[in-house]
Amino acid sequence: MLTTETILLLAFGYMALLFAIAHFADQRAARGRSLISNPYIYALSLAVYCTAWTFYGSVGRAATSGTGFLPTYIGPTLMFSLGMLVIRKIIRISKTHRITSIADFIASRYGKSATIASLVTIIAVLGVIPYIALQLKAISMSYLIINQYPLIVMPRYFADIPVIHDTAFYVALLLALFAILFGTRHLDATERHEGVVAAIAFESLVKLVAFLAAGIFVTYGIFQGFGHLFSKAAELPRLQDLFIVEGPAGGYFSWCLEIVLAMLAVICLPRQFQVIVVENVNENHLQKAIWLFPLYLLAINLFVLPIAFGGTIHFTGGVDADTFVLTLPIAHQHAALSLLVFIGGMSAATGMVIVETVALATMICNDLVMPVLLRLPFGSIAKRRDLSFIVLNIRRGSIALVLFLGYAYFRFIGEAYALVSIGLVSFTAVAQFAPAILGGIFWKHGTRAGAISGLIAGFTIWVYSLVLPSLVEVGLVSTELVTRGLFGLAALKPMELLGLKGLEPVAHAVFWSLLLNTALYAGVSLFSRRTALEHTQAALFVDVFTYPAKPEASTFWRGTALVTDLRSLLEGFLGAQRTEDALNAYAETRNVRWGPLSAADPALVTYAEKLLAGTIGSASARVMVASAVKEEPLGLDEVMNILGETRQVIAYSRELERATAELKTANERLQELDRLKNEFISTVTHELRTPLTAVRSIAEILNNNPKLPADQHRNLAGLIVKESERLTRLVNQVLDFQKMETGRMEWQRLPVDMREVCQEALTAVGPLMAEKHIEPILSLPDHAPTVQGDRDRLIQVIINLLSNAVKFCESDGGRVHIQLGVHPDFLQIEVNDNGIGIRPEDLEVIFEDFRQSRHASRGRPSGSGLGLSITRRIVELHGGRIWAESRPGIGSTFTFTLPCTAQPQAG
Amino acid sequence: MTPDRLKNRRLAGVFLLGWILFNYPILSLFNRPASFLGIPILYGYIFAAWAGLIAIVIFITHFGTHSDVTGS
Repeated sequence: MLTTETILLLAFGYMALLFAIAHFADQRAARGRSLISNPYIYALSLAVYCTAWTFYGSVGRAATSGTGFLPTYIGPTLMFSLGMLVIRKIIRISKTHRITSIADFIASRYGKSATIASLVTIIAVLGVIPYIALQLKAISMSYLIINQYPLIVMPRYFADIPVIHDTAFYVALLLALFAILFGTRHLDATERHEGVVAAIAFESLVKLVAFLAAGIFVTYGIFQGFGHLFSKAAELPRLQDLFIVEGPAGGYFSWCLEIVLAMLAVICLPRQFQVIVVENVNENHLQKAIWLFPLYLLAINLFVLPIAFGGTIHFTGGVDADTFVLTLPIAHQHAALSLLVFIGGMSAATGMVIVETVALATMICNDLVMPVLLRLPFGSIAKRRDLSFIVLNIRRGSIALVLFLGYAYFRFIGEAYALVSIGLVSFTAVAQFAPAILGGIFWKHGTRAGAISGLIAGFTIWVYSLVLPSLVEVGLVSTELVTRGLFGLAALKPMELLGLKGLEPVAHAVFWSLLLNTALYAGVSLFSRRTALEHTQAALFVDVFTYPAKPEASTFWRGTALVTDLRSLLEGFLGAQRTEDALNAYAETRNVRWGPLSAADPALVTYAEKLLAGTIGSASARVMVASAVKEEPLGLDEVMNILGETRQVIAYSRELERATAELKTANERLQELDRLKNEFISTVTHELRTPLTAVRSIAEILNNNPKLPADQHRNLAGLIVKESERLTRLVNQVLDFQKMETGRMEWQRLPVDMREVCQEALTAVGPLMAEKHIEPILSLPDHAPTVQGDRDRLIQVIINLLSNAVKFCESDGGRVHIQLGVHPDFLQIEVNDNGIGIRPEDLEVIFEDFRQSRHASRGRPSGSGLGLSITRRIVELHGGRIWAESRPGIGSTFTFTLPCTAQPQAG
Repeated sequence: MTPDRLKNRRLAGVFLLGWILFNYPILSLFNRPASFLGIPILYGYIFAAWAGLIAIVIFITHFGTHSDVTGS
């Protein structure tokens, strides 16, 4: 016989034990000897995922849908296999930016947006309150059942019980006290609560042991093992359907969607984010948790189906399947096991409520209340010295509020629902955070506008297709809405949007909400612009593993503030001692000393903002710091700086590579030029020496033979003149070339008739041609448009080409042909000879500086090697171009064009 | 860093394997009202595959590479 006193004593004794464990863990933490710093406690604390829903509700679901309860646990298993890729990244980001809630995480990613922070908080609170109600319902229900021991009586309506006689009410009060005591003990920059974590790890152990004990009892105590139980079940027609996943395609798709839902929920639930990310002591603990946590889930689910079948076989009706875990031991008069199961169910429920309220209270305080308070026009709050007291009390108030709302929901609405469906409705609400989170850590282009649109769309569908129908069932909304759709439009039926049928209600809502959410998040992101701060945060989140460990080194606050201002700001939240410690730590690592009027550098401002973000959230911290710092807008330079070290390193190495390549080519070019210059000097000196030698020997002859005949004397003197002219010409060419190279050549710009130019050039070269008996042919049109240019230079071009032709023509039988062609936009001048020709490989290079065509049979050609180079330059400066064609042995043609409106350009 | 990245790729592979094992159409192969050693075949399959996945993750994280697991 179990008396009410025994049960209550045990229940409240268990609560007292939780307080003791939490207190002990907090004491240990204060002495620096953490109780929870190991992967096993971490994994157990993650098992806060398994709530009263798992403990009681899974069996209820299994009794009606067989394996349908499993996706909720397969999803987390799959998500944790991605733990090292996804969860580790979230943990690293949160630690780097001192993020303390899921609202803070999303808001921080999208430019520390207070709008997003409050939106996420509202969705989380509305989505999770029913879930808290579910836990209170489970506690209340289990108490009412075990209190009837050894009879089995299903509780009727909770509303009939006055609040002061409701156990759940007192449990809720105790939970509020626990959460306030251990969840808001002090304000801490990391927002970790070792006592809470130790307590819930203990609770996870209790609920696992209790459930396994019940499972073993049912399987081996009531039946003779799995085989016996299942063969008995197979005899019952109503259980036969449960051996398979029900329904055809819709069944599999619903199953798949529920796996996805659970995958997302296990990181998006505020309490899961709290234990996985915020309470994480050491990132390396995740390594073991990625298999320990799934193993826990597997163990706690192993006996769900046997208990469901056992209960269905044992009770022929009148007993709610949600209670089989408890009612089977009661029915077999197993008092100790009944009590253990009762405590196990309580541990599942209380663990969830504690963590969830602490997480929600942090969000309500940091992301809803503080931003409003800090923005209040009278502004006095930001100047108060006792801000930490205010913040803590807001949190305490929030905890009480959340529990009150949960209890109220349970009393007025929650009764009509089975445990599982309430849980899945909450999952669907928080899963709406997933696109913004996952997109935010892997995709830099996700924007604030995209995140807001996605969240609002997903939330709207959640309300419309899941919450409204539930309100219909309790009579708050007209049935018409569900059966006929909004405004009587069938496409707007909440549970069959656009006529989509065949999915379970939750799967239906998950499909539409996540589809629209993701589509809007991605679509709006692609069409919206990011602010500088969004750019920064996107890079810091996505590339968190490549940035330096010191976050203040990689972020930029541009503004001016005094160290003393920052100090007093921090003291308001952290207290004088911890502010002093934090600033000293900073000063020590940076090796700086502050005077009374020292200005804070951007890194210090960022450091202060991070410290504050840990206590009041990133959005509020930004507002606070902005009140002390006169911020200037981020300039382009800063944004470029933000692009970060890695990218800089990559850019540097690329630049280095390019510079090296450039240097290499430049070096090769220099060597080539050097070689050519040497060659040029030897050519020029050789060319200078030939006439010089001639002049000198003739002069010697004249000197040594004063009695030479007059005609011989005249001949020799004529030779001297000729050789000197050749010398002068060479020197002039070199000077011309040098002038052109350095851009000191002066150009005339006058209308020039190219027919006259050709004639004049031919006249000038005439004697040379006559000497070699070369026949000149001149073909000129009757009319030719003038070109703008320098007449003398153009004459020089043709003279160069003619003397070049003469040089390569045989004496006697040689022929040089000048032709002037008129085209609509330009004139074309051809100089054609029937000389030895140019080898094809030389055709391109002969116009280059110092290059000469070498012909095997002729050896080194005479001339400086500058003639054609100068020619090309003149033509190009007149806006034309020049090229050569040749067939060796037959002759060469040099052609150049000049535009009719050519404007010679200087330089 | 390289052993870690290799490990992460293997774990991503486990995810894909699990996704395939727990979804249509592989799941439908076991979705029959039959039993094996007295245990419903679908129920037995899901738990066996689940345990198998956990075993692979354990193997990868603790025995898969010779790298030092404490490195960050």
